[in-house]
Amino acid sequence: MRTAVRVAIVLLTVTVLERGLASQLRIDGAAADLLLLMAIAGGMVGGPDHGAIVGFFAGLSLDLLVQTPLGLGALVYCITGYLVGLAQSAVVRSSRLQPVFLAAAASVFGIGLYVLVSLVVGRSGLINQHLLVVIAVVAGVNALLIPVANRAMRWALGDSSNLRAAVR
Amino acid sequence: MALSRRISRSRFTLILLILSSLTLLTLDFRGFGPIDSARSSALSVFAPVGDGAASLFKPVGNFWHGAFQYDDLKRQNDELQAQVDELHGQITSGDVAKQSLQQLLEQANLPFVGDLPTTRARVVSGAVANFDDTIEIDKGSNDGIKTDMPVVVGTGLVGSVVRVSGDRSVIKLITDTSFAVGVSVVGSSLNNAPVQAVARGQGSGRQLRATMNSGAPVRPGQILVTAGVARGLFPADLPVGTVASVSNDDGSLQTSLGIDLLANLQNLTYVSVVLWTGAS
Repeated sequence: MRTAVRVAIVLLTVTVLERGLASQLRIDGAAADLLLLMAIAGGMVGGPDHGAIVGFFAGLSLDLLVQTPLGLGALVYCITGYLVGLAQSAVVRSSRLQPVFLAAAASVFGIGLYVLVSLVVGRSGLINQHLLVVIAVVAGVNALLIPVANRAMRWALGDSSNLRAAVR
Repeated sequence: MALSRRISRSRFTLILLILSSLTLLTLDFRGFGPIDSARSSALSVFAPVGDGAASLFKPVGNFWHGAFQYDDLKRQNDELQAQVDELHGQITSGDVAKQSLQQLLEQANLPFVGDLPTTRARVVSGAVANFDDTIEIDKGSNDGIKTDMPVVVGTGLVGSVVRVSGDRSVIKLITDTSFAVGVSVVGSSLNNAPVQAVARGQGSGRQLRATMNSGAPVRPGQILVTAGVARGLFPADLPVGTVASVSNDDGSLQTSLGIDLLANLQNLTYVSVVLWTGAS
């Protein structure tokens, strides 16, 4: 119960930051995706189970803010969080840079999956040159911020985070 | 053994969440009422929080824009300076004031709207996410705004209202990939009927595209206005754009048009919502 409240606090804070700050600080029209970052951090710190759950609610928060179909972000981010958790649990020996590379790769995957699912649900026209800028910006920012996001997620998930040592 | 049990539990969780997401998607596509209400409530709740955060982080935003968009800002400033000089001869101080003044002046004269009532609103936020081509304005149902109402600036159509709460509305911009508007070509007719097409958004910063029957007399530079067809979402004669390119694929029965927008969607400060619900 306490974990759920803490995760909710973290996601609410990140949603406000996304709405008030990240969406305004654009590089060549592309904004950071802090909610995808939290899904990735959820998977990295808590494993596939927590990654999927945190990703689902992070995506749902995004869905409520934007006018894309409700459930689109929840679907994509929960799959991303789950796969990051699986990838993290497969890591035998971690390094300082491993979370950074994993966050960047997961961001590329997350944005790609988002566009793919958008196409399936009838939102065409997203595959263009701007998509490359979006992928580069989201992957770059998420790679930079993953240590902070992991710290926040470790606090939220508490001692239940079974991969704590791996992401240090 | 314990590991495989954990993996199967994780898979079960994932499948459950995927099914929940798909259920939400299905309900949303079917226009399930409570989902609309939830999104409108989220708009109301996050409006003041988002505004507060935006104000709090404004210095950061200003620094960012100064650092990364200096050339754009300089060009916009030069254009605004020239326009305001032309209109008034003297300018008020501050770049934001200049921009607001210019947009207000444009709003003061909307001849194409005719007798239709409008309400002027300030743009309080741009798009929140990367694939979301929307803006948020500071007026809502308390000012008579309803979903699907057209939104214009002095130079033409900007978009339409997609979500409304008491004092906020979200506008889907005309460049959104899911946006479509029936247009007719001013000054062209085919068999004594106006030449019409459906223009669709292609994403932020890109031209609209439209297709029409091949053989229609259309040339670059012609103006496109809303067609105003029966039960359509837009009244007739709202300016949309100008024909930028006309292309006929060999053997195709369709002509494809590239359309330059008349309204400048960058840095919108004020817009007017046309209080028109012809479709309902």
